[in-house]
Amino acid sequence: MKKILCLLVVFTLSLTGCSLLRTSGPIVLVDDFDREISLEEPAQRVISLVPAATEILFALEAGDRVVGASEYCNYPEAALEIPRVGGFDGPNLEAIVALEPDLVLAASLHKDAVEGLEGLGIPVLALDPMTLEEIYANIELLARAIGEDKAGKDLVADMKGRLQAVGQALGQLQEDERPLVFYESWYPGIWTAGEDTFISEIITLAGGKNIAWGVSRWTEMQEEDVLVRNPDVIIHGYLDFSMVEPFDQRTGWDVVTAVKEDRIFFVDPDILNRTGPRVVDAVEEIARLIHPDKFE
Amino acid sequence: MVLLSLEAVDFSYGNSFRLEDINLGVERGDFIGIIGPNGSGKSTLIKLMAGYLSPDKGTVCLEGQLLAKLERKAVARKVAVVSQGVQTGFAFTVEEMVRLGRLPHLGRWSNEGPGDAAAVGRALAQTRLEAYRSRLFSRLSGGEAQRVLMAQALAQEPEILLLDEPTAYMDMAFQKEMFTLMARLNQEGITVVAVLHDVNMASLYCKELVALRQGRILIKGNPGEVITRENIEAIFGTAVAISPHPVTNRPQVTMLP
Amino acid sequence: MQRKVKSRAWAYLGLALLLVLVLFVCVAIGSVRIPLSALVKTVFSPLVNALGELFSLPAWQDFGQDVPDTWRTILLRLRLPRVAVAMLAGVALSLAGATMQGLLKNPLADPYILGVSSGAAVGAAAAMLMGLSWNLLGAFAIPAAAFAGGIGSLVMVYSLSRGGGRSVLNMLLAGVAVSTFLGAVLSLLIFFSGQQLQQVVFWMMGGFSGCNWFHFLSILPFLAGGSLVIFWHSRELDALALGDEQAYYMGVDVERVRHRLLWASALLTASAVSVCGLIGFVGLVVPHAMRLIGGPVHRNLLPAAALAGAIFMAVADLLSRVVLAPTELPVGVITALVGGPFFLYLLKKRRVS
Repeated sequence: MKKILCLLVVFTLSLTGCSLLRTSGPIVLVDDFDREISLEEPAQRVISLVPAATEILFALEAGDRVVGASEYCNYPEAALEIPRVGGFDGPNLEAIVALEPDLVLAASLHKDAVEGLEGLGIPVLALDPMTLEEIYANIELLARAIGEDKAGKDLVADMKGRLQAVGQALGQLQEDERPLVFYESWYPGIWTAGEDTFISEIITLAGGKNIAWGVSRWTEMQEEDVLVRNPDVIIHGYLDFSMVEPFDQRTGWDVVTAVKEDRIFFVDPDILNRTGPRVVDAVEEIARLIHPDKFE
Repeated sequence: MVLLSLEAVDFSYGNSFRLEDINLGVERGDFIGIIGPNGSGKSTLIKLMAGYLSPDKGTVCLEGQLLAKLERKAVARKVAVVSQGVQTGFAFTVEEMVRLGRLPHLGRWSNEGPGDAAAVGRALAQTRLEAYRSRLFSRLSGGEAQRVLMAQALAQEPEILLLDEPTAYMDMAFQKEMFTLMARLNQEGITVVAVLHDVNMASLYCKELVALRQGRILIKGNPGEVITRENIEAIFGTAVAISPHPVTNRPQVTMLP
Repeated sequence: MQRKVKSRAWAYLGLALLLVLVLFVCVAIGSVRIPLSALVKTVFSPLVNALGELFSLPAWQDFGQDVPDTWRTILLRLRLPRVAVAMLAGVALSLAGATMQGLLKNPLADPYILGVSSGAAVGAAAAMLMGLSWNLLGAFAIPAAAFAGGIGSLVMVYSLSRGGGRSVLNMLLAGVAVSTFLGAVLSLLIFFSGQQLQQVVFWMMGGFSGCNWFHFLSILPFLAGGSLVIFWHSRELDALALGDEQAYYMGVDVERVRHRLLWASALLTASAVSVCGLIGFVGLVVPHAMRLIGGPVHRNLLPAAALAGAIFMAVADLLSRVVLAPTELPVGVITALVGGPFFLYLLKKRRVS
C-alpha cells in the first residue's frame, strides 16, 4: 500500500513537473507559410510591418510592446506614435535591427526583408490569411507569441459573438433575399475581390452575395460581366471620384440596379481590406448598409 | 550651253580633306571622265555637283541657277546619280528598285502610268536586266547591283548622269557594256560625268578628262592632252609609258614594272 | 505589272472584308454569352423598325424589341466602342512601326524605339500618382498625360540630337539615352507610388477595358493626321530605305521628310499608348509580316499593315476577354505570347533565307 502511494506521489509530482516545464519552455510558432520559429520567452519587443497585425496587438492590449511599425499602421490612434521602419516599398532593415526586436511580423510581399532578417537571427512570422478562420488563427498565433493566449481566445470569441449577433439579426436568408454585392477597388480595368477572398466572406456574412463568382483572388473582372450580373449594391473605397469615373456616369452602367437605386456605398478600405479584428466592423457596417430593415 | 558649272569652289571636311579652287563647266552633250589617285577628291566632287554637299566657298549652278536654291525633286528630274555601295536591308526586287527611279516624276497620290512603265522597261533593257526583274537586289553580286543602280538612274530619265566609279566590281565584259551604254546615252543627248579609276577606259570613251590631285584640278582637256607621260606622273606619282590604242588611237597608259 | 496590280486589289478587298468580319466576331463574342440572334437583331432593328414604320408592318416594327437592355448595352455601348478603339490602336501602332522601320532602315524597329513609350508611361504614372483632380478632363487625365509624355520624349530626343546633326544614328542614340533616362524616372515614380503601384503597373501592361466612344473620337484626329502624313510620304519612305544620300539623289528632301515622319509616328504611337497602355509586338510584327508577304514597297505595305494591325489588335483583345473569362488578361500578354514566337520564326526565316 505504501509503495503504491509513494509511486502515485512520484507520478503526480513528475506530471506537475512536466507541465511546469512545458509552460516555461520555448514557444513554437508556425506562420502562414509553414515557417516554424521558436521563442524562448513571450515577445516583448515586436515590430509590425503589417497594419492588420498592429491592430491585432493593440486589440490584445499589447500595443505598448510594438516598438516599430510600417508607414501604414494608422489604427488605433496610439499606433501613430510608434516609430516607423518602412513603407510600401519595403522595410528598412537597419531601422529594424536598431530597435532590437525579438519578433518581427511581416506579410508575403516582404519576402526579401524576411530572408534578410532570418539571416540576422531575428525571428519573423509571415502572415497571409485568406479567410476569416485564418484571421482567427493569426490572432491566436500572435497571442501565443506574446504569451497572452487567453486574450487571444477571448478576442476571437468576442469577434465570433458579434458575427453571431449579426447572423441572428439577419435571420435565415434565402438565396433571393441576399442582395448581389459588387465590390470595386479600381476602374477601369475593374479590380474586385474574388469568391475565395476574405472580403467575399465578409459580404456573405453581411447577408449579401458577391457577384465575383468564377473570379479567383484579386484580379480584373470584365465590365460586361458586372453589367449582366447586375449587382443590387456597390461597395467601394474611393474617398472621392477624382481619379475614377463615378458609377452613374459610366457608359452602360445606367442599367445596373445599384446605380438606378443609388445603393452605392463607401466603406473605409482600412476597415474592409485589413485582415485584423476590424473585419467584424466591416461585416456589421455592410450588413447595416445592405439590410437596413433588419437593423432598425 | 553650260548645264552645270562650278566656280571657285572650296570644300573641306574636318581638318584633313580639302577641295580647292575648283572651276568646271559641264556643257550639254559632254562626256567627262574624272580621274585621279585615291583621296584626291573625286567622289566629293561628284557629291558637290549633285548638290548633296554644299561648297564652303564658290558656287555650283544648274542651268545658271544656284543648285542649293532649287527644289530637290526638280533637280532630280534633270540630274541622276549612280553612286557606290548602296545597300538596303529590305527585300526590294530589281524591278522595284528601278521603279523607284520614277519618284521625281510621280505625284504624291497618282499611280504609275504607262509612261512610267515604259521608262522602267527601257532602263532594264539598256542595262540588260530584264531577266532580273523579280530577283532580290540584296542578293545580287556587286557588279549586278551596280547595273541595277544604273538602271534606277536611267529610269529617272535625266539630262545629266553623274557616276561615281560605276564599273567597280565589274568584270571586263560588263565594264565594256557599261562604257558602251554610257557612250550611247551620250550620243542620244545625255550629258555624262563619271569618276573613273580605269584611266585607259576613260581615255577610250570620254570626250574630256579632268584630273584631280590632292583636291585641285591639275589638268583638264581631251584625252590626248591629258594622258601624257608627264601628266600621268604628276597626277599619280608613278612612271608610265604611253602608247596609242591599236584601234582608236587614243592614248593608253602602260605601267612600268 | 498590270496583273500584279489587279491581284493586289483583290488582296486589299479580302483584308477589308476580313476586317468587317473580325469586327462582327469581336462584338459577338465576349465574356458574357450573348446569342448571335441578339446581335443580329440589335444591329438591324433600327433599319427594320424604320421600314416597318414606313410600310406599316407591325411585326417589323416590333423586331428586336425583345433584346434585353443589358445585352444591347453590352453589345453597342461596351463591346463595339472597345473593339473600334482596339482597331484604331492597331492601325496606329502598325503604321508607326512601319514608318520607324523605314526611317531607321531596320526591319526590326518598333514604334517605341525612340522612347515614346517610356515618355507615355512616365506621363501616365505621374498623373496617377499626383491624383490630380482634373475637373475638365476627369478620367481622361491619364490618357492626356500619357499623350503629353509620349510627345515630350520625342522633343527630348530632338533637342539631344541637335548638336551632332540629326542623322539616323544620332537620333537612335538619343532615343536610347532618353528611353533609359525616362525608364529611371518611371522606376522612381513606381518606387514612390505606394498604394497606386498596382494601377501603374496594370496600366503599363496594356488593355482596352473601359474604352468608349470618347476614347475613339479623341484618338481619331491624331490617327487621321498622322496616317495622312505617312501615306503622303510613302514613296519617299522607299527611297529613304536606300540611304540618305541615295534618297537625296532621287529627289527626297531628306531632313524635312524625316522630321515629318518622326512626328507623325510619335503622334500615332502616343495616341495609341494613351488609350491602351504599352502593348508590344504589334508595331514590330505586323509591318514586318506584311513586308514579308507583300514586299517592302510602302504604297502596298502601309495600307496592308494598317488593315492587318486593326485585325490583329481586335483579335488579341478578343482573346484577352475570352481566355480567362470573367477575368481579363492584359492584351500585352496576348500580343507577346503570339508575337514573341512569331518574331522568332521571322528571325529564323531571315537567317535561313
